[in-house]
Amino acid sequence: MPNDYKELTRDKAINLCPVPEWLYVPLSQHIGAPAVSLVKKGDRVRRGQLIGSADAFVTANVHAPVSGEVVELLKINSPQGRLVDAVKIKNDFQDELDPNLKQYPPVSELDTETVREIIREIGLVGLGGAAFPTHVKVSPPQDKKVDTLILNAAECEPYLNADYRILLEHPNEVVLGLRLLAKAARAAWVVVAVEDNKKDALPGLKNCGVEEFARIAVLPSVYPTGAEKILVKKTVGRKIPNKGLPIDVGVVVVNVGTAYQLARSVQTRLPLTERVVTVSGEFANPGNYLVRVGTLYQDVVQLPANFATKDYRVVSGGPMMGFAVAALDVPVTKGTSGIILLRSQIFTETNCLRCARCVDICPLGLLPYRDRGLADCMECGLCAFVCPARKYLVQKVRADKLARQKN
Amino acid sequence: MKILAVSPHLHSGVSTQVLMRDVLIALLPAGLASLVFFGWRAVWLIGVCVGAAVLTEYLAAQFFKKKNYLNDCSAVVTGVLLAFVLPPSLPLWMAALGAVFAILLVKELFGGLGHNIFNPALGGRAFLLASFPVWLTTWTRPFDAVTTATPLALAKSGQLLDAVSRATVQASAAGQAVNYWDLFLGNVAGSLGETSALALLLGAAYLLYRQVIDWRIPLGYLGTVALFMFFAHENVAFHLLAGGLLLGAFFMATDYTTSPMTRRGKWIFAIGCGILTSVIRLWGGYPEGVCYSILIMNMFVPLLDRLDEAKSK
Repeated sequence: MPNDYKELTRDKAINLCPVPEWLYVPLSQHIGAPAVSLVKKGDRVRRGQLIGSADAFVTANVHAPVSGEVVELLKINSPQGRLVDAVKIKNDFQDELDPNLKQYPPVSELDTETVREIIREIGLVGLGGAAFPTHVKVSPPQDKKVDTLILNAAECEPYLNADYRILLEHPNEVVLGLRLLAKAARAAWVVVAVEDNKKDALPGLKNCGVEEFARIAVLPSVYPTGAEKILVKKTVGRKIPNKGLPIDVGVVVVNVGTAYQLARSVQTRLPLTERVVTVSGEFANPGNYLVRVGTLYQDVVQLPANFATKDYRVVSGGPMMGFAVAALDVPVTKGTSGIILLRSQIFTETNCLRCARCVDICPLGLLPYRDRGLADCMECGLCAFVCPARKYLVQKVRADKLARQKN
Repeated sequence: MKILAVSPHLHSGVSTQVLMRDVLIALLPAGLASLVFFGWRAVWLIGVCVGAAVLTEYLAAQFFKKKNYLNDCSAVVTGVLLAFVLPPSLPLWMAALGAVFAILLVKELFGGLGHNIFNPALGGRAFLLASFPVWLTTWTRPFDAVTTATPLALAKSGQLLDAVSRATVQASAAGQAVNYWDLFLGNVAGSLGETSALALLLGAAYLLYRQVIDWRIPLGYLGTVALFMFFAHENVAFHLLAGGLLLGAFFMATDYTTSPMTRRGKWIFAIGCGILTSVIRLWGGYPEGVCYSILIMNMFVPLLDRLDEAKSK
């Protein structure tokens, strides 16, 4: 990718995003079953209180991001465009902590089972965007063995800097979180994988003793290095089988934000109720913000004046794999890594020239111009990015996958 | 207006128009060289071919009720390329006929841009060669337009002597000298845009720099010819510089639509072009074989694509 647009927010320190009066906390912010609501209209909740309980295995707890009153249980649009159950909370601006929050034992006394329990309790999910429950990731089934944990610090999506800023500003927490995650997954080897455009974050990590237990792998800054299949291949040389997961080759991949959050929770007792979000593109307030989960996009970003007259898209996540949102009244969730405003046009498809750019650039060696054989596609978007005919290649893949699911 | 669309939300900015524009820019040096060597005749020939090609594309689009025709500039590229593979002295109405054939029968009847099996410009040339064999093999000398034979034709008929051992080759029967400097600059008889190796290489360098074409096809094509001629005890440099090989290898065989999609397919395609060109030049009925080699290999493209498509079900 010739331009990654990271310079827009690269040097912006993480700022607190003002907490709004109304928060909409979805009970399904993760891959897996929605959490079951534990509150009802009129309940008073305090910050960090469990409001959505993880009753299945693949699911995650949801906690109150502020103290205040439950105003309503309602359906709301998620950034992905799905209608999900949510808890609407009126903020009383006291940020009173839930008295039931656990005091965790000192870090040195934590064993594997305890760390796994903490991870489950705090509702930790992959903060890179996919939001896969972390306790599932670090608790492999009996027949699978984990030997390697990779910290995914590639952040290869253009525009995004949330992980980079965390690395730069909170190396201590990242390293502590990484230690705990390695313990939880019982991984013998730990690798910190970072793209070479984030090399200036490495001295901080080294000062925090990361090299005592981890190897640092500096990878070239080429999208999509951070995709698990590519990352595992490049760092430990193992090929994840088709339709497989990193666990199939003994690897667990965790995101920078995930490690950071785990350390923060152990230190402060507070579960996952906020995350770092990169606001970039043509918004009036580009930057990196610490945002409470449940804050509406419109309370985080400021549209430039007169912007309504232009054609634009608001993207949730990175511009290569993120979702264009229909409106700004969707809430920030655990998986919201960025909110990007792009000038945009709708292009119509033209004839395929058979130029083979899609074939040459596909990181998985697929033949994107075809309408078959694409079940392994991870939708990184490079084929559509380079297509001179502007073919809707990723759209086709998604439609195809949906059709298969339905059959 | 807020736009909802599936990711990715960025694009490289390289569109079909940009690619066609780059090809036209890359053809500019060869066009200028043809103007130097063949004078205003070059302008007429290129103008008529482009005009006829664009007009045919326009009428075909009207007839087939197509939208967004012409703005991809592909008809202009076809017109220029056709002019480049025709003898400078060709009657203009024949050139126009070739352009109509190239666009209408070779391209549009197969579905238009991206769907044709054969390279349109080479298809147009093959049609003209079959229809007017004498005119299509009548060559003129640069600058004075005196009728003469091409270096390849002289070599074929044994009039280009001792091509291996001496840098300067005397064609005594025709009373003229052909040397490598002339061959490199383009000061020899031949098709309008094929004679100047220098100009073609400049254009090719631009296409490679802009990543418009894949280097595998020209490298495989030229490399195969070079190896073939080396083992056949022919003069390698002469065969690389003479005739339409450079134009074919960089601008014709690399045509997206009529070349394979996968890397393996491209190598096989390029090597096939190289072998066929060498065989035709050494033992075939024509002195030059670039046009037919590429057209023949064009036919194998669907099969070559299927080689790799079969793997991904």
